[in-house]
Formats: sequence, structure tokens, C-alpha cells
Amino acid sequence: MSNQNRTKLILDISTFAALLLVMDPRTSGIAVHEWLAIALSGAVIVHLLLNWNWIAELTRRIFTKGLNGSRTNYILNWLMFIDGILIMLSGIMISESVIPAFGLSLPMNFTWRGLHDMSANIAMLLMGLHITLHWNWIVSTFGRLFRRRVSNPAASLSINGKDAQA
Amino acid sequence: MSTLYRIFIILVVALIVGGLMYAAVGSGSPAGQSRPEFDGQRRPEGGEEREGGVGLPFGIVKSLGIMSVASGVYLAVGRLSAR
Repeated sequence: MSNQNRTKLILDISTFAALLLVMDPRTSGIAVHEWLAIALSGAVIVHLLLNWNWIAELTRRIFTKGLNGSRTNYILNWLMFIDGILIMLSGIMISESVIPAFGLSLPMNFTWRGLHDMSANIAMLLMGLHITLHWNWIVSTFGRLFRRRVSNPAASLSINGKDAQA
Repeated sequence: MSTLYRIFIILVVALIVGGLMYAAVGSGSPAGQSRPEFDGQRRPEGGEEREGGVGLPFGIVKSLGIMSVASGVYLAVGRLSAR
């Protein structure tokens, strides 16, 4: 398995775990919710960079015939991106931790609160579809990562040998 | 260099989309742009207890539930249309 696939898988699993935690501010607390969400936006940028070739290629060929599955995936990704921006923007507008930490205060608008909740629920719907569309890749990459470690007993023997010497 | 250029593109697109959303919300609810009391701890829009701590992670369960439903509906529709 290529290093990039391994990096992608580890980043995606970590991002997904962080996303689940971010989606539960009652458990994590509002400060963790907000700062972790900011960090997640960085992870999303790295995710986009790692998949940049696919994005660029499909952007060029979006109107080409015979790309139905990829087109659905592409449109879904754009919806997730737009929804993610709405979550971040509305979250910043109702921030209780990040924005006050910079000594700033933003105008009140109750619309942002509703938009934040709604866009978060939509994000979960879109994430469910995103994972479903990539399920085969996730399972196969995870399997290759696991098999690679199991099918390399020499490495584990040498580690054990080192342990024994130490 | 190309990585910086790509990050720049992502941020510009995000800024454009975010700016459009901000303008849409701002123009849609001019009465909401007031400045009620904010004690620096909890904003009036909050409306829910968010103190943190150990308990049933309802938000995580809810998120996984929504994702499972979306995934199930997608797969069911896919199977029905394949028949």
C-alpha cells in the first residue's frame, strides 16, 4: 500500500473521530467543541490537498458522459464543503470561546444559531453518504494496512529480538 | 509552491461562499443585528447546557444514527433502482 493511501486513511479516521467528538458539545464542553472544530477545518484542507488530483480531474471532466458515479460523488463533496463553511461561519458567529479569546465580540443574530444546528445535522447526513460511497476504499485500504503488518512476521520477530536483547 | 497555491484556492473559494452566506443572512434578518447583553460567558443564542463532562454521549449517538439512516436509505434506493 502506498504511503499516501496510508496517510489518507489515518487522517480520515482521525478526522472522523474528532468530528464525532465535535458533534457532541455537551460531552466535550464548549471550548473543546470550538477549538477542535477550528483544527478540523485544517484537517479538511489537508484532506482536500491529498485528493487534489481527483478534484482537479473531475472539475475538468464534470460534463463528460459516463461519469455518473463520480459526478454524484463530486456534487456531494461540494455540498459537504459548502455545508462545512456554513457550520464554521455560523459557529464563529455564535462563538463563546474562540472569538472572545481574541478580544472580539460579534453582533447577535439568532438566525446563526438555527443555521448552525441545521447545517450540523445536514453534515451528518452528507457524511453518511460520503462514507457509504467510499466504503469499499475504506475497507480495502484498512484490510491492506492490517494484512501488511500481519504478513510481515520478520519485522515483528526483529522487534521481539530487540526487546529480548534490551 | 503548488501546495500553497492549492491552499490559497481552497481559502478563496471558502471566503467567497462564506461571504455570500453572511450577506444572505445579514440581509434576510436586519432586526436580528442587535447587540443584546452578553456577559462574556454564554451568548443568548446558546439555549442549551454545554458544560462538558462524562455522561451519555447523546450527540455522538445521534450523529452515528443520522449517518446510518442516510447510508441505509442510499443503499436501499440503489438496490431498488438496480432491480
